[in-house]
Amino acid sequence: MNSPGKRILVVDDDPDIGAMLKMMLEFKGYRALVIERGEKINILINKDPVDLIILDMLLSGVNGTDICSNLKKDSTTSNIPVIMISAHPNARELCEAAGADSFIAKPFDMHDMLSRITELLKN
Amino acid sequence: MEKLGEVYKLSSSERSTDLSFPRGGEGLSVRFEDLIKKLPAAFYATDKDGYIILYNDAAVQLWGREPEIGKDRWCGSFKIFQLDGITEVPLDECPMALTLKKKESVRVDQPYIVECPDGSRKYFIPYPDPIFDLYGNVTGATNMLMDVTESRLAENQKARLAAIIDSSSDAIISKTLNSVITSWNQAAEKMFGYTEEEMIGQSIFKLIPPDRTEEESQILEKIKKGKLVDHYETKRLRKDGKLIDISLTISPIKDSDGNITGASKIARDITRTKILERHKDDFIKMASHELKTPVTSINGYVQLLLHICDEREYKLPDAVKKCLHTIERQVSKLTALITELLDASKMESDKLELRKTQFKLEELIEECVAEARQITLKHAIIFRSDYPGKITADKLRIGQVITNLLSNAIKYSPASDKVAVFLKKEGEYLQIEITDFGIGIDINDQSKIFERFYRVNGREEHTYPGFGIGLFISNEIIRRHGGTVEVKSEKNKGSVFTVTLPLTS
Repeated sequence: MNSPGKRILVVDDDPDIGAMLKMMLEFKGYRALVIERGEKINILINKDPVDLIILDMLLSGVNGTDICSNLKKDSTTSNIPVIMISAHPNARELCEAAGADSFIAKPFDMHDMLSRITELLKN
Repeated sequence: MEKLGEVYKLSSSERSTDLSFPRGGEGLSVRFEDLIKKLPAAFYATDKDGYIILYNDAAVQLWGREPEIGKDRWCGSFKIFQLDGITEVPLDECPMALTLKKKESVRVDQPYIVECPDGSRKYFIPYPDPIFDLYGNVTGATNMLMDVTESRLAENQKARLAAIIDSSSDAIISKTLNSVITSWNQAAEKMFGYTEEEMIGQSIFKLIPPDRTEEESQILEKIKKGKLVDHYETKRLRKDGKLIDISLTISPIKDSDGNITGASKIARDITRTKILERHKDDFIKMASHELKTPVTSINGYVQLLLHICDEREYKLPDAVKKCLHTIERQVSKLTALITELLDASKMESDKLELRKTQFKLEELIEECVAEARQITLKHAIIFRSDYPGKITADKLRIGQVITNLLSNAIKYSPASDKVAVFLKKEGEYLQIEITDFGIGIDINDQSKIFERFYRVNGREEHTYPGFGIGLFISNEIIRRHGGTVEVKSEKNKGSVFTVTLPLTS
């Protein structure tokens, strides 16, 4: 098992995708937490720090890109690697502009997702 | 000579108006007949009862027949009609007949139509005049018939063209090489909101938005060289300040010596088309997003299931494993199709942006080849590179092209076991050759396979899935890099696709 115990936060408003990511991450030995909305992400992180965030771009309420740029502006959270995911056609540009460390288009390949996580957690 | 004598007698009358020749001998009358004969206008004369006694060649030509002396009366025409072409004029009511009956010259303000025995019709204006003797008695009449067919037809043609221009729903405008408007049709009035009176003599710049003024000089440069500007899509300003999307076709106007004196401009309002295009793009974007979300779930769960079983060494029955792999493979096909559809829509609306970087093309090809090896168990994919250097291009998009060509090579060569890829440098260009030994492409289809949604029509080809947009997208990507994709192929032998890319595009 790689990086046992590392905490990964998943923000996706599609419960099936959230559950799938959680199963996948836990199977790989990570601790995973899934939330559907991002408004309270800072409170959550402050209470219980995370090592990496997988963030969907189009969310109900606050958008993934806004969440990402806020996290990257805040010195207490700016070091947390963020992988943004989306099925939106222009998502790559928007997510990179928001400061995401990595972008993976939906539908993603599981192996690709896992290797990006490993890579980002290494640094 | 008898006929001639008659004429001389008529013309020698002092009171005759048209044929008043000085008295002279026979020699003079011969010259007079020659003159009549050679006159380019149709001319004839009758006696006092209207019987034709003299006519020239031009008259025969106009009538389309030779009149019989002593028999044909009033006029040598076969039939005469009023200008409407329907109402026939009886010969004894023709202007020449009226002249003889009223004993005065008759002038008409509209041409008549003569119908020849062969059915052809001509327009003419008659100029009949009576001839008087010394005592004021009418002794006959002369008639000059002016053939106005050509000018009449030209007028009709002009009226027809004017009607076409006025009924056109496209704005048709002409201007000088100094951009001064010289004509303005009704559709232009409707499209731009200015009347003809407001625009004739004005500058075309009135219609050009301030940020597009340089377009006019570019267009004029082309026009001055005698070139056509075809379907140029741009925006123009209406009188009310609204911007409209238009498609312009502009061609040079030449004078009769071939000098370019101005330009004619056809503008089509494409605002509605543009709105529909945007709706279509939005729809495809939305649809592709909505389709991709469930595909993400399906793909993820299948991969997870396979992964868990592999890692935990659960012994899944082979049949179950096969089912899961098939789902995985089909889902990845579905993903590729959704992506293709979206790409095609981007290409069409010209929204495909290239993100160029410097990279080693051989490394990219190596990656694509490695991926392609995953989808075939049968084919050995051989890659040879003669160029280790870098290229400036959009890596993701070039990779997409290579992957598309490789998967085609595999897909369309089910009976072969080899695909060859060769990278080489040709001057300032790099060439990627992808060779398969498959079903090949008929010569008639070779030029069409790069068209959108084109699929080769054949029993064999129909067993292969696809939208027919893969090559369209590949070709567009390469074209936008300033390169080309070419194909050489022979049915049942195989195909060679050659991508040529400039080193720096």
